[in-house]
Amino acid sequence: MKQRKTPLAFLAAWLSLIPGKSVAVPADYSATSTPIDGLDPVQMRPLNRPSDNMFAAHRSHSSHASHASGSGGSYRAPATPQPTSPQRAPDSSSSLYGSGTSQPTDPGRASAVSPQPVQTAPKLSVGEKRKLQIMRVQIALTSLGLYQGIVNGTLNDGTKESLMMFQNLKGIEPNGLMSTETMNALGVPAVQ
Amino acid sequence: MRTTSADIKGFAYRTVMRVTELSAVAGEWAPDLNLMVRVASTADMEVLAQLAKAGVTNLVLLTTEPGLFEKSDIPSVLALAEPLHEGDVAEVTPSRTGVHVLFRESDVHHTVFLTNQCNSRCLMCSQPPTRQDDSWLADEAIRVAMHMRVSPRTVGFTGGEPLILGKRLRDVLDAFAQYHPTTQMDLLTNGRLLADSTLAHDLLHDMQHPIAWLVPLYGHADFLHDFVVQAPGAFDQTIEGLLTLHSYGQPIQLRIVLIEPVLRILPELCDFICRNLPFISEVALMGCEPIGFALANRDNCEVDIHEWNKELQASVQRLVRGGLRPLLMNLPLCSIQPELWRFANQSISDWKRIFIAECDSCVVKKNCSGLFAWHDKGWRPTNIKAIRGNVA
Repeated sequence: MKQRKTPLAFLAAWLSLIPGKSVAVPADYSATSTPIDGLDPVQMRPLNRPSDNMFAAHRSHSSHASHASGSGGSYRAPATPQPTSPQRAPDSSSSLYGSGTSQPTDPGRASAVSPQPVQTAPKLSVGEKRKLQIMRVQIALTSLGLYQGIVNGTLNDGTKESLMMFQNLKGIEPNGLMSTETMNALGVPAVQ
Repeated sequence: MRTTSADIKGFAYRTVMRVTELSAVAGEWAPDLNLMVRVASTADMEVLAQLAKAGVTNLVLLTTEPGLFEKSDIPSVLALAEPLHEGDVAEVTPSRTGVHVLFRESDVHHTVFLTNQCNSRCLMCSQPPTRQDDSWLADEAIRVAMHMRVSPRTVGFTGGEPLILGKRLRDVLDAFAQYHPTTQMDLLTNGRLLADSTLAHDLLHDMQHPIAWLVPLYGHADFLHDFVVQAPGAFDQTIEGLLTLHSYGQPIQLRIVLIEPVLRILPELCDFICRNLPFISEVALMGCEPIGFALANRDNCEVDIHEWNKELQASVQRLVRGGLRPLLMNLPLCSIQPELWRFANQSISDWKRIFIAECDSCVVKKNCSGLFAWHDKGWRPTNIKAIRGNVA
């Protein structure tokens, strides 16, 4: 589950960056941040979060809602008061490399020890992504011996049946769809 | 490049694959990737066979069991000696036994070899060029970029002379930029072909991903440089190439290999660089690798760096004064004056670096570049002598 800041909390965090106004925030802030030296328990992140799975079961439209309403905008707290320009810098610079000429030669960045997994690569259309995801599900089901059909990327009756068999085995609602829960149980990362 | 001995069957010419586990196939699979799947039991092998029957044709069986290898109907690899690691990008080709590991995640230095052709014949070339058409190397490099599961911090592109690939080089660089946007790319080139403005434009226009260009320069006059690289006209072309790179905003490191004809004019060369090429970001002064043509041109290439310390110090000083950053590479600390130690780098890749017995008692060994593993077939940069006592 993504920890989403409410617009209000976001605003508070924002304000705390502005030296002059920081006084207004602490009361609210201290009320929420109780842990002193203890660390909050950390839940293991599931393989796929609901919002990762573009092709979740039709019923769970909750995940789609997030794209539909353009939450990208609301995330950035449109109601924020316009701060002076220097304050913006940390926010705007967090997006990837700037222009092509800037050189990320900073030695402080992730050393060779923990290279980041890459899932970038060529841009696939939604249709291609869906097909790839179905093919991966078919491969997983074949590996489990639940699917004997062709791996072709179409969610045909055979695949749905196999999915239902798998869902039954795992105690998931057998609807024959690539729900996020099913994908996680199969161990297949959603195609993004 | 590593080669692991193995038996293979069922492969097309030069197949590039990624090593993986059966449990990871569903997550990693993509239509344009070849996955070499580790299999230890008959049951696992049957899963692969079933997948092949279902139309998944880009899976390869990897096993250490001769029995499984015999029975397998799909393309298969029987690993005989050193195990392959998960995430390895490997290549096989039908007529040869063995598996070439082209990329391994645990390595520190990653090199992409783009061609063995070259338009220069440097006196000290460590990798003597050949004339055969090896353009397949570019295609292979792109396939390696696709198959790499992680993005390393740095990838170095080398040859031969990579610019001989022409526009195809841009495809290779773009492929790495596309699949590995966080990776820093270094390209080793003599820059000569960039004197061709059409090629320069094709290669450099609208370059989004930063690349560090590593370019050698061996003289401040044409006859000096042309002699060292054994190619008439090379000096003018390289200078033009450097200016072209600068005009496209590309960062450049000059690389100067310290052989005798170069050491003789090194301070003047450094002056020349400071005055005329002030946009250079670094100047690397590098000990000669005693292999390849260097062995054949021993008269010119074998030097005792210790005897040239006056020139070396003067050169470093001029670079510093000129605002350029000197780097000393492939030079053991005992071969240079302590005042120069702060410029020294541990530049020899881990797999080709060694120390000798004398180094065991040296107090600065942990900061030292060490020696090229094959120095005993040639020479050492100086009489290696352990540094003792209390030095910082």
